[in-house]
Amino acid sequence: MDPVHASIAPEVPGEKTKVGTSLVDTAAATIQSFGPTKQIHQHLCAFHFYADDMTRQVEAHHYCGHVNEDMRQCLIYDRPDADARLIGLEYIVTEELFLTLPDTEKPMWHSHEYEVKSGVLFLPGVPGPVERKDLEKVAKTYGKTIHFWQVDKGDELPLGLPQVMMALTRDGQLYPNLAKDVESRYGVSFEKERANRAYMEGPTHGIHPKANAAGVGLKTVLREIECKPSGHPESVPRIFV
Amino acid sequence: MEPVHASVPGEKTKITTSLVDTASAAIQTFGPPNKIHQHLCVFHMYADDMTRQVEAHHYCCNVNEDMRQCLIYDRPEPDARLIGVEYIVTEDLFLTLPDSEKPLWHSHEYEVKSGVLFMPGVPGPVERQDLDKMAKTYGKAIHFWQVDKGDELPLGLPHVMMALTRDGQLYPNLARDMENRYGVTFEKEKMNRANMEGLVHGVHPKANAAGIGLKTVLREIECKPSGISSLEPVPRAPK
Repeated sequence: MDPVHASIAPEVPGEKTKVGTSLVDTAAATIQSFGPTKQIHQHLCAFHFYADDMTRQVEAHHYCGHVNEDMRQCLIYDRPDADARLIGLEYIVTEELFLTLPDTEKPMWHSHEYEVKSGVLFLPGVPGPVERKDLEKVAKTYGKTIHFWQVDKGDELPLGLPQVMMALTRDGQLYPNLAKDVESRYGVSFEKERANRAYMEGPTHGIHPKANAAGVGLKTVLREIECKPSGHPESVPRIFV
Repeated sequence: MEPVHASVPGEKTKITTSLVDTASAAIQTFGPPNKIHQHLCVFHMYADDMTRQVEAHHYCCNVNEDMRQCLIYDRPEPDARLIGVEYIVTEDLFLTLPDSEKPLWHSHEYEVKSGVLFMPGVPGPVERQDLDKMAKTYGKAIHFWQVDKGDELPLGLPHVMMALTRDGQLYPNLARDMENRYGVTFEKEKMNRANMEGLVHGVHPKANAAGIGLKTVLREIECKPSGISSLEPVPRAPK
């Protein structure tokens, strides 16, 4: 099956944003402040695949900000354009923080060493030396990625359950046509970057055996259960009946 | 229960890190996040547990006239934690969703008309222009960081979240706390919004999880390998 490239996926249904709507937005935007989102300082490009299906590989544009020195939070869009779809998010932590996670939690996190050292993960537009200063650190980190909009299936809207995603961990996983396409569009060469990054080291303690889903497939499913009511004195059902 | 504001473990961001960030930021463009034009404040509840109520600061942008995508943070500060996302669609788009999808979405009519959903700092008349539309939408909210449990890091699975749908659900102390911090009065806003219409077809019976609890669980299965025929099949994790 040929992987679908996100840039040819269908548009979101609906009318184009009206001028009136934009005006109200602009009015609000001049008054309000957007402190949390202003922390975003970096655009990273990489690939993710679904934790239960490596044939589904998705180009992921990360917009990241530091929460502190040990942790970043990233928004993931399907392309780097203003009309991009928000398809996921990723949390990135240092090895130290990763090692504090419960063993049941570790499988949902993936290592970054291969993605960085292979050259596939890059910062569009940033000169090599500046980019490498940061990627040296990223190579030692772990990430937890969740996608909620299956653009690779051609979904016009964000349907279904959020899914845990995984990252590349060795040669031979990434589809060559996806790699070539990113290289052409951004004028980068993964092979060349790999050579430039040969000096980098991964996690000090090596890749943890429980990371990267410990090699099994993971799929989020939904279970219907009794909803715990709010237990407020006049306890009410959630919806009108 | 009062909101818990634990800080994320780890060192404070170093100056050298900030400098590299600033260098990148000067060169790169951030088209998608720069489109965010609106800050909305509201409460979400876990879809399997209404006793867990979370203050949710939404930062939204219009994808088009019928759809918005919002980032959800636990507070409106630069050091806020990214705890979830929400997609908001008009009633027309909602009705196109498969029936199996609808329960994951919640209605906004009550939140808006009760005054509980508001846009911090925006004057009433401007705010109401937009909230008039919001009252006719549905949202799909997912949270990934259980800050209400005091989790220092984003542990566990993503959770589907639900919204308030009638009086008596929201804990009064959470409401009072919000009103004080933002200088708003939900009762007063409720009166100002009395003329708003809600959904044209009424709240869809399948929305709001159709009244059932929903919980995400993880299933371990055979992972489908990438099957590149020219290359030897490789396991995902390096040995």
